[in-house]
Amino acid sequence: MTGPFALPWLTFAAILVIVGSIIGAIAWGIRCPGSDDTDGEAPDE
Amino acid sequence: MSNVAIYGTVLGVYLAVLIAMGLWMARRTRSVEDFYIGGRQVGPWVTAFSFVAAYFSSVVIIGGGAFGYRFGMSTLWVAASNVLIGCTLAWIVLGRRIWQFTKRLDTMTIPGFIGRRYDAREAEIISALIIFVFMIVYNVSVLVGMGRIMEGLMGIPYTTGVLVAGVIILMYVSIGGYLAVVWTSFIQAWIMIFGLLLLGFATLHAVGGFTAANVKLAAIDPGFVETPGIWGWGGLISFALIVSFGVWGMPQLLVRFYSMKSTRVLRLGTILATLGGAMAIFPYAIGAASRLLLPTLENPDLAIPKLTEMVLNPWGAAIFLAGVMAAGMSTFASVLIIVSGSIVEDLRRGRKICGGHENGASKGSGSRALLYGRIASFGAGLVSLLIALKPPGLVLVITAFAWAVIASACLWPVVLGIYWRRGTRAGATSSMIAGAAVALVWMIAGRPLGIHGFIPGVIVSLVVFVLVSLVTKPPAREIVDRAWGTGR
Repeated sequence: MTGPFALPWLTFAAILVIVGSIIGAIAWGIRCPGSDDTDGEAPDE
Repeated sequence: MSNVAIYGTVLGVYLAVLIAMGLWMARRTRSVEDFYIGGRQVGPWVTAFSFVAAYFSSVVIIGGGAFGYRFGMSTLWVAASNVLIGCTLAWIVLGRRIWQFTKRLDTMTIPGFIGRRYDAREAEIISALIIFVFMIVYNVSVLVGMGRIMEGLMGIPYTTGVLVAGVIILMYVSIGGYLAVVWTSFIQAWIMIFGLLLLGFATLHAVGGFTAANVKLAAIDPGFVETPGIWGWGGLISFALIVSFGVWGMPQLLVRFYSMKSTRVLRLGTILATLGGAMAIFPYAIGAASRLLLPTLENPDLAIPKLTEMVLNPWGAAIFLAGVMAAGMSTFASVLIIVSGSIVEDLRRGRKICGGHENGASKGSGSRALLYGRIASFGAGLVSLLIALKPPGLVLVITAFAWAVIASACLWPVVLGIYWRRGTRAGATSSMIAGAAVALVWMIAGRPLGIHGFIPGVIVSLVVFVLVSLVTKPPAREIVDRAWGTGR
């Protein structure tokens, strides 16, 4: 059984993974924790 | 205008830009920290695209096309793993903590990180040695790949091609340091993307579109469009993992996280690196489709070069060639700065030369330290260049192992080093030795079961790391506190 672009679904899923990664990266970028400049600095000694 | 003149013009402009950039960045490189990590002042665009350029060498473009030609569209899964694991997840899982830990531990290199995180001088030396030896041979393979491409596509004699590319890289790296590497890589990434888009769309046009290509491939053999198709699960999964998860232990890519100016870079950087990484789909898809245009190719490595001649006009072919060279040069330059850093930081830590001090050896900013950095970069590059001019058979064999050995040795000491407080000095040291040894032996044994040496290497490395850490004395409280920034 074939999916879009005449590819079998299991092969087409690879394209979905790439598109999903891009969407996921955008979502994570928007919600990215620790986005202020001093984040990660060691506490004052 | 003849083809040679067109190629010469495009490449001449491209190479002149690289040299100018090296000179420009030299003015901004005043300390060792500038030379090796750009003074931790690099923003999201340059960090992300230089990451992608260092990730994909010319070997990946030409070799990816060859895999696509041989195994068909199932190789899209390799591209998918490149994007998801090698780019998106690498940035999300590693980026923030690598930046934080290396800043707290005050180090510029992977050996420096391992040495300080585990308070283990021997682990630092072992990792520096592994990186030094295998990165140099990896760079030989990158140069050999570039030389062959220039010979095949432009008819430039192999020795001349290697010399021109190698000498220009040596110049801009040893003069401009890390900033020259990332800024040239940034430009090179765009040339690569543009070149691949050009070849991708020209190929699709020539075969009647993506859907038509898949229908025609399936008619030749359904295995060319199915997953795992004619490759089989073992080969497909192990290759996909080495070129994606293996990235998590590759120093020339991890250093991009050291050099970010803040963790804010990760927000946009993760998106850009994922988008840039998505170009990985092109070499594989183009290679697979090329079977329709070049059905009787004896050497699959020629799929992309032959296709370039067939579907692009001379200007397009020249731009694509510049893109392939860009892929190789950016990887070579990125590796070179890592090799140099491993030598210089380790020497400074060990002998406290050139202005280093007890708790901040990497902070020295003396001109002597900078000079050592430049000499080390030039020397390490020269060694690769000289070997690449006439590579002995043994070196070419070892180049195939380099990525597997480095990733197997470094991956867990880095990843668990930022996520597992219980990891110990003995655990890290034994894990590196075991991982590198197993990967090397597996590859020398001819890849039993068709599985890449990285898989057994990284599994053994993980098991040894965890078991040895659990049976040895937990790390001292102050070491953990320093790395995690806690307890004060």
